Amino acid sequence: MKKAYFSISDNRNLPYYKMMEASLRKFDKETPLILIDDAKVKQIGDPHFWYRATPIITKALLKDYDVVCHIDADVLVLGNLDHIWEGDYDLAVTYNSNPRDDKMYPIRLLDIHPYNYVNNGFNVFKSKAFIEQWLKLCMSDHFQNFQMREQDLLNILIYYFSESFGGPYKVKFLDNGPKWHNLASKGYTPYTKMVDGKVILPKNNEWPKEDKQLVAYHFAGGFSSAKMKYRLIFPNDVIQFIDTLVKP
Amino acid sequence: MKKRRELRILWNSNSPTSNSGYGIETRDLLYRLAKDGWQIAISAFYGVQGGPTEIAYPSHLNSQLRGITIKHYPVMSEAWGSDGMFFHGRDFKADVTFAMQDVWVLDPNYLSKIKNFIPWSPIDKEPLPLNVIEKLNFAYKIMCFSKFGYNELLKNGFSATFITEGTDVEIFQPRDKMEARKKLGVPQDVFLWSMVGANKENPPRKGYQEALEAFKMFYDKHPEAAMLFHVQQRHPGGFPIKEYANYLGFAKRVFFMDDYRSMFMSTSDTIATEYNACDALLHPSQTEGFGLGIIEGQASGKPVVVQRCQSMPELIIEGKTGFAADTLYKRYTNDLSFVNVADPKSVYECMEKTYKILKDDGKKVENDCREWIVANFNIDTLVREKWIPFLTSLQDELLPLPLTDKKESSNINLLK
Repeated sequence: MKKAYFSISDNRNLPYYKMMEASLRKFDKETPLILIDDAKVKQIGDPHFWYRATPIITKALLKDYDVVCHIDADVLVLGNLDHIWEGDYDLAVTYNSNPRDDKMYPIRLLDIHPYNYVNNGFNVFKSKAFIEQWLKLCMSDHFQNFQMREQDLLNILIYYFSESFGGPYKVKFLDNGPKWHNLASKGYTPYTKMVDGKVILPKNNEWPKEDKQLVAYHFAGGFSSAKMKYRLIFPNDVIQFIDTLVKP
Repeated sequence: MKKRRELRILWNSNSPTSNSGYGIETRDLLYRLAKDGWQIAISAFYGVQGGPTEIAYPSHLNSQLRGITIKHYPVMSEAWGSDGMFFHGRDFKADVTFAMQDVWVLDPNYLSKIKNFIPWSPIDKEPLPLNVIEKLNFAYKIMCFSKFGYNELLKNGFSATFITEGTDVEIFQPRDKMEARKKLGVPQDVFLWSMVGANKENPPRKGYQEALEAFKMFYDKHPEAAMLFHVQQRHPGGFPIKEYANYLGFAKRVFFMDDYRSMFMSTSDTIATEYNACDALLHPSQTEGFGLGIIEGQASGKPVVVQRCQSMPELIIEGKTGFAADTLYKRYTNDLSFVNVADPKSVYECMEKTYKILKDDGKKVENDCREWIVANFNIDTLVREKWIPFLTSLQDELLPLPLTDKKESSNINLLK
């Protein structure tokens, strides 16, 4: 199976990309990480590129790779990611929110439960057909009608057209297992701790109900002044661990 | 082993000469750190104007700190020192800039440029106002000085370092009550409550109206009762304390430290005399990020009536060193949070309980108050056990030494 990660980063985000790259390489030294930088974005020349970049780039990469993982530049990789490639699926996705984050940044789309809404910052794709349909929607008149553009359309495809609803696509929800990969832990990171070299968010009365290992954490939130400032949101033992991860 | 003291620290707050709560804590902490060899300058956005100057620790206070000086930078154009943190920090070649102040007042245009900004800030509202969250996002690390603040930050996804405020237990200690009253000109035969605080706004943050209404109920039962006010920051928009006492009919039972002396001439020794002159303190503030007077009073052996909200309950041992009054209602504020208005009847009931434990065994109350503060809020202990390890760790982090040149390893043990 030929696999690759890709990330899209303009010059402003490059320092974050470097941190993400360094942390990823602590766990995976071999899988290619493809950077779509400012020059490539200009070459593509799509005025709406930043709002439909994932299907555009994924479509191109699936010509050369069997499976690709889109990882945002403002993600810190905190654990081994070998498991994300495994299994029979068309796309593997991760969640956007949780009880605390939903109070701060509520996102509502149709009747999709806010905790089930998928975030586009960390996803894995195998199906060319899925990407083709997603991209066509992103190029259609529907595109401008959705606040979160490609991310909203991704959620519509998942929650109306996947196998569970009689559609063609097999969707794997990576966060449903013992590991979290994106924003499901946002707001709860101060409660994490290091256990046997892993970043663990212990179960509690609020969230989550089972112990979870954070294998990736997505800062998100646009150009926030807190971007990638892990010292503000993790406890000391985890900070010391991340210090070692982000070193080149 | 030689102490490594290479970290250059700029501290943005009130000048120690200002005698505000911030100024006093800044004095008690920073002169001790300077004595330990840390390179410190103060950006005094309140208390110093004109140009930089070296200011010595007040010679009449703690003799252990006599002769130690700290460079003070003046206020610039921006009232809360945002510009000073940037420009003074650059001049001082600061490696880290602490801010002991409210963060919501700070200018984000400067915050984004400040090198390693660390707020040690009051968190005094629940929920945490958005304008506080926005400014905290500019920090390198976040520190707070109350458990209430620590927990509010946790609820908002922040992992803060908690180091409580402390007080100088040499300056604030039990002394002869009658001597203190004689010195201040307060009658010897009164049961005296005192309030020390700023009076800058109306409704008053320090809860003067609720305190006066509670005192009225207490005075009706105890005609020997009196109140002493020390307002160290006065503003034309403040609460009319004297006038309201007159309206309630007990103006003759209320004593005031002279405004001029309160605002400009009262260092901690004067406050300590006032605490020693009184029987107990009233401190039912509507918001408190800490409440320095609560621990100063107890260090002087006096119980304190506080309100059961924010940082205040954690500063007393309820039933032994003070009592916490209930909140009557919460007032919604422009920052989309609340201030708590104390229930005057509950404040009064706490005053009665305080009166009773003092009458039952005043010496035990004095000892309990003193021991509680010496054990938990002694600034010397906090500097030695919390601040120096924290700064040593920060120094290692910001100015790492080659592995072969470790002079002093940090051994940090903070509530995280």
